[in-house]
Amino acid sequence: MHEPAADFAAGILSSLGGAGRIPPPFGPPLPLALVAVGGVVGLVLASSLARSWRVDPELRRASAFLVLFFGGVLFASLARPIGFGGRTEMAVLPVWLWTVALAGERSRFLRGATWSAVAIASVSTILLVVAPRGPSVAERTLEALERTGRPGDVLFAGASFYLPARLAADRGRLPMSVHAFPLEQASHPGWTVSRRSRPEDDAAVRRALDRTGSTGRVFFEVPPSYRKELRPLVAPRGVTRRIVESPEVILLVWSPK
Amino acid sequence: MLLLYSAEARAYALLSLTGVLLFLLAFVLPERPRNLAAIALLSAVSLYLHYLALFVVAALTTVAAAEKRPRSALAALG
Repeated sequence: MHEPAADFAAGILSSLGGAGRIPPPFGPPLPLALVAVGGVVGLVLASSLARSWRVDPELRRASAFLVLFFGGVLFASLARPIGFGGRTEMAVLPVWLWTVALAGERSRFLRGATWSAVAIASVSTILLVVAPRGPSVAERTLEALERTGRPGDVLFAGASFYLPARLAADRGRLPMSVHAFPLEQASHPGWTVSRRSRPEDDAAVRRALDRTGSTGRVFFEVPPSYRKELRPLVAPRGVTRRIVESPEVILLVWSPK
Repeated sequence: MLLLYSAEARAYALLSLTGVLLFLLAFVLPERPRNLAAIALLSAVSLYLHYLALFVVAALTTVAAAEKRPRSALAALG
């Protein structure tokens, strides 16, 4: 799986409960409390469906279809990173809505839970619509890197920051070599924050630090959660400065001692 | 979310549409030749749209076969 199993499950359930996980490029995230309530409502709806699927053949078919779909994705995710909370469930979201609407006609409790999901989804939609739209911190960070980067520099970019950086470098706007962190993100770029990095990711960072000349710099444009993993890699070998820090992204620059 | 994804030219909105149409055709509407042809067509289209459709079609085929709707199952397989 590409992201921790708990994040995957929470992302799916909150989306089913009406508060989807918003990928950073699409706007600011929904309030954590709303996502948490959405997750609880999604869990309640799923467990209620699991209890009531025997009463109706249509409910049984729909529940079996959804279970097989998510089970298949989960199983395949053990081998390849294809499951993403906030994205995977889009394939069957209308079927899920149809199923809970049908179940709501047969159970007062499920009807209440369904209306709760509708209320959460309405609040989520309003928050998304009124959210300010403009260049994100990540976009501004990349623009600054384009202006100040030098050919000897190296950039490690993770999550949703890798693909824009890769494109900027390939199009000649970003004058530095770009690597994904973790490396697997290069073969499957996306906005999801990967689970912990592997030894080969750490080795790639060490190689880049070793190769950097006295005037070169190594930048890290990554989600803040990666900072703990990067610290033991970069701290003993040079000076690291934090240039940008926001809930979405941190930009660190390393230079030799 | 679907609106956001559709605005970003992702295939998810279309995948959702084909997914729910396949589901309704396979499990809710009667197994008529016209519906079976639509299942086959939508199944092929959804597989062209996104790799997640593979799991949609696989789940659909399995449930249709288990629910004694073998023609829908076969149509989904093309």
